[in-house]
Amino acid sequence: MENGCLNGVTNGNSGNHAASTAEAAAAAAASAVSPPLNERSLETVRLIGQFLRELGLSHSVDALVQESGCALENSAAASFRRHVANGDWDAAEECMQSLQSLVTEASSATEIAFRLCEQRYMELLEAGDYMGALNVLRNRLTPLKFNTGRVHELSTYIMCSDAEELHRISGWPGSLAGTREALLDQLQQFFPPAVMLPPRRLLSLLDEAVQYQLAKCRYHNTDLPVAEVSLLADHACSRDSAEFPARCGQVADQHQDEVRCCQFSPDGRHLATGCKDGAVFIWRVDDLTLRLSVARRYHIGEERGGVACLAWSPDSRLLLCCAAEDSSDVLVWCVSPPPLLPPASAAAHHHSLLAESHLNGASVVVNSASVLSGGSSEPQRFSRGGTPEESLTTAAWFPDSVHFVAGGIRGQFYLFSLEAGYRKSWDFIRVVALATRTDRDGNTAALAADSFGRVRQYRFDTMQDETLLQEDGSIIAMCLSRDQQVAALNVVNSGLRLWDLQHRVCLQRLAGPGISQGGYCLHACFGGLTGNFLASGSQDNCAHVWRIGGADSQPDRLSGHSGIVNSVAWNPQHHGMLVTASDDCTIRVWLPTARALSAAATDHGSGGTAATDGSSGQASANLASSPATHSPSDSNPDEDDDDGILE
Amino acid sequence: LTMGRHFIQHLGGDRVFSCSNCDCPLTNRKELVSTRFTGATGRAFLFNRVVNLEFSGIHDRMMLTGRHLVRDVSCKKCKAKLGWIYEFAIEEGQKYKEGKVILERALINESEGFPDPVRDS
Repeated sequence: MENGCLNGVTNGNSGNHAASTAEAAAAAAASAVSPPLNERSLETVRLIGQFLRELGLSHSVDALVQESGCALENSAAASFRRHVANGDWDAAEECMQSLQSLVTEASSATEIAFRLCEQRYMELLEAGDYMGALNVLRNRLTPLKFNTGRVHELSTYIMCSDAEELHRISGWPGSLAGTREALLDQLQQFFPPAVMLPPRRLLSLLDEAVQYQLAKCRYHNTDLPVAEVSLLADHACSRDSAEFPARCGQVADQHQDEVRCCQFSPDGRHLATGCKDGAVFIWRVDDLTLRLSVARRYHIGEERGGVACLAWSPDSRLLLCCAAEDSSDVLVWCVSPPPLLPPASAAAHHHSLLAESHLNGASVVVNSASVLSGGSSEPQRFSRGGTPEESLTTAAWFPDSVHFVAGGIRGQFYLFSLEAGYRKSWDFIRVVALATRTDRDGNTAALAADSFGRVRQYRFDTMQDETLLQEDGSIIAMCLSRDQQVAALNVVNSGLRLWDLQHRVCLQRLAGPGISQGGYCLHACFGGLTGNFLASGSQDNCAHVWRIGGADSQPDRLSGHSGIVNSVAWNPQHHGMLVTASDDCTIRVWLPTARALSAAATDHGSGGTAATDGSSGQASANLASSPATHSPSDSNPDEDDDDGILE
Repeated sequence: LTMGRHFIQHLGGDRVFSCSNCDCPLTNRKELVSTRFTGATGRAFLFNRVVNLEFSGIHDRMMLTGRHLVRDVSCKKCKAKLGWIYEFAIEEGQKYKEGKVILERALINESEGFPDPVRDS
């Protein structure tokens, strides 16, 4: 039912403009619609027509074409499409004669002819018509003098004895497997869209719209496939219904002083928290309820100025700890023994060694094999053995869970290994923050933010270094995204800056009045299902959570703490679980609203601390009452029997 | 006084000046403008940039060189008194001091630093 008219060309193919405007005028005149359809409406009709045709609703297509007076595509193109779909190759080639002038680039006409003949040839071979195939090869393909390498390849397929072998050797799935449709889709690229629409055009536009909405969705933290998002209304997760950690589900007050750091193990099963009084607690995460319970208590000693840095090994077994005040050593605990248990004799040796240390009352430096294979509460100490003026306040692991780097502002920057201890030094770098990054070739470099506001990359294997970026202020803290492509820097008086480490450009600046003006060490953490959230501690007693790359750069504020939020940790396995550590001596677990409310309900039942606040942006009045009702932590029934011994 | 952990800056330099009480880094020789000043404890140095300081309220003081508006400065870490910063100089000839910091010699120590291997190689 096509009336051979073409709607207006709007894609820059100026040579056809005169012809198509005449056709457009004719189409408008022939249309049954009044007032006549404008450009956008005509295009939309074409998209709808294509969509209906691809569904097989041909009556609807005919009715649409007649009523709107708009042809779905150029009539010659339509005939061409029909001929190819039916395998009428000669007719198709004839159609190409009239379509030749419409092709975007003149040279493509040859390629189109080539591809048609190629398909024809393969189909003939498949059907066993060797004479016909040879004829196409010699008299049609070869004279084109196009892609002779492919022609040679095609000629070898004659040796295939049957269709099945042909499919296998050539990789061509066969005429029954939709190769004609695939061919049409490929040929479409040579024509302007006005002549031949890209396949599934309406559906791809709708998918793009959905993806845009998903990207803008402020609280989106689920794995919703694009195809399942409803088109009926704009997608926007609500704060309470999403998998976004909107509400406080647990307040844990076991610490006695300001909680300075918190870190989840990479397997998401443990949380480590470090306190100003030197206590380091390991918490177990319950798989079902996501509830935290104390599993271990370690202590680094009170004169060290508190815990400055906690780092889990990538295999989630070991915890590294740096103290705040000029300590020349770092401590490593084995939290979980390795999956392969040591032989009985080694275990016995370990037990006797441990017994000895308790008898003597002195702290024994136990050799690495026994400490790091058992679940001992004795940490192993790593230092260069140098002067007491050394200061290691930050550290980061290498992916092998054996090597790590540690450094500090006095200019120490060392590589250690668990077996051999101190290995190498990089001199004269005043280190503020550390991370490691592995490139595509599997080489790991240490990234150090230094006192001059630079982030530099250090390869301890080749002893090569280079500057990645230079900030215009002092860097307070640094953390890397899960994919190691983005670094979030807390810069004095400037808030958070996101840098692309590959391209070395600043991606985004996140303003945070409470983040960097006070000069406090506040830590941030990436998180969420796709790592698209950034949470940070803040001076205003809230945690701030940004959706990265979202249209809105205003953070969501999680309020409830009564002191500065020093650090945040986002569970890498349970993407809706966020933990905040504060000067008010508590840590809070933030969960999606539904989970938080049910967690609070169980809390009330056992008489523990309840959390019933934490709604968006408003400090709630009932927070002050909850710490007063805390149950003594030692009677927490969830605690491990294997309680770490306080030093 | 419960507060979070203060961020300690470090200006680097070949010769580093720090608080004599807690060894907190303050400044270096490169930032030194003049050694010919006198404070409460004796000799005092004038520096361009000093970090890790806490500032008092503004005081209107009469000094040897004239009337100035100053703030007392103390160590961010241990709160020890260190000197003062010139906010405003009444006399034209003294304007060059504005924004600069006086650290009293007895309240700071000088120690060996090292050059930045990246820039000064």
